[in-house]
Amino acid sequence: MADWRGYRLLVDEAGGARKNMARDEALLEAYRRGEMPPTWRLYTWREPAITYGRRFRVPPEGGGVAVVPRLSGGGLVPHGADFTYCLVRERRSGADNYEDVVEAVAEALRGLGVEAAVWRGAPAGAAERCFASLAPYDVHWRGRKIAGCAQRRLRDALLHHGSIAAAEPPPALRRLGLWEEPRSATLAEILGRTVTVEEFAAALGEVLGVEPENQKVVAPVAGRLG
Amino acid sequence: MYPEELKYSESHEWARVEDNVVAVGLTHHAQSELGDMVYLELPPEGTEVTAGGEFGVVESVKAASDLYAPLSGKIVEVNQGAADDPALVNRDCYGEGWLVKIELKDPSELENLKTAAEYQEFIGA
Repeated sequence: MADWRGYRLLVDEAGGARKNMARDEALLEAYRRGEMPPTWRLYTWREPAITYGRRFRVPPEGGGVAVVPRLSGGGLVPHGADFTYCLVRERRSGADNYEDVVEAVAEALRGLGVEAAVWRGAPAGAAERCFASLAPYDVHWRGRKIAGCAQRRLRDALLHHGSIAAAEPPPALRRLGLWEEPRSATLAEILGRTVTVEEFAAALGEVLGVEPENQKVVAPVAGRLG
Repeated sequence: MYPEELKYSESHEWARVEDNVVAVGLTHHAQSELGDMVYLELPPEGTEVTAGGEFGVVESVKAASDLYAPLSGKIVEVNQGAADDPALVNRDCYGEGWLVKIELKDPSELENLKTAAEYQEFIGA
């Protein structure tokens, strides 16, 4: 049974792509300095964006799409209509870094009425495009991905990133092939209505036993990502 | 799985002393915990590193992890073969999957590292 006592759940304002990534990094560093308890940060995007782990080639920035590196590894993630979350806490051993986090996300989605489960099968699809593939610890609905995740592990801390498909990404991102309908599904499609980030925050807060707080995370000018 | 002749750090790197140069890699425990390696970001030769400081990033299918220098000094060689094929770290972490070679600045730092027996106790093996 996961124990989330002492965690915070922050619902941040929608941010630009660079700002969002910088805020996550600021949160990680604040946690490492002992200035923050283990914390979830939940947020949305002010502009269509792609975040990426450093191992993949990325399309050039332009056409209204921001392209920014992400501290966590993994494939290209289309942002704009998703809920993104970042969790910072202590580093654990192997799969223990993932289990309770993705189970909590799946349970929160079930709380909204989505038949969500954690993918336990083999990886499938093209790993470089997050929402065109399924990998262990992704959250799926009937075999279609609804939430992906990736991590950065430091000696003394863990940063876990996740993206939950609330609705289909903006057209500019779909044109880049970052969305594949047969492999992915959205909350809007499954539930037949729009789900707000506040609704998801409430559902996640219920699972964690933590009250969501509206709070902006302030980011310094530059960090690991430059 | 933990060769006697190597020294080990708590951040799961090993060090093999060859005169004043130390080969560095990831331990069996580290590579097994991270899973299939897909990407290695290593610093250029000539980079100065500090014991305990970050010197690169390794990425497996589901996690990117920082690499920490077990000893201070200058990186004099980088394993390009492992950078090109990170799976080498999984297949042969103490051999072909080494990461960098460091010219030691302060050999007395070796005393801060663990023996194979101490490291195994540390990871609970």
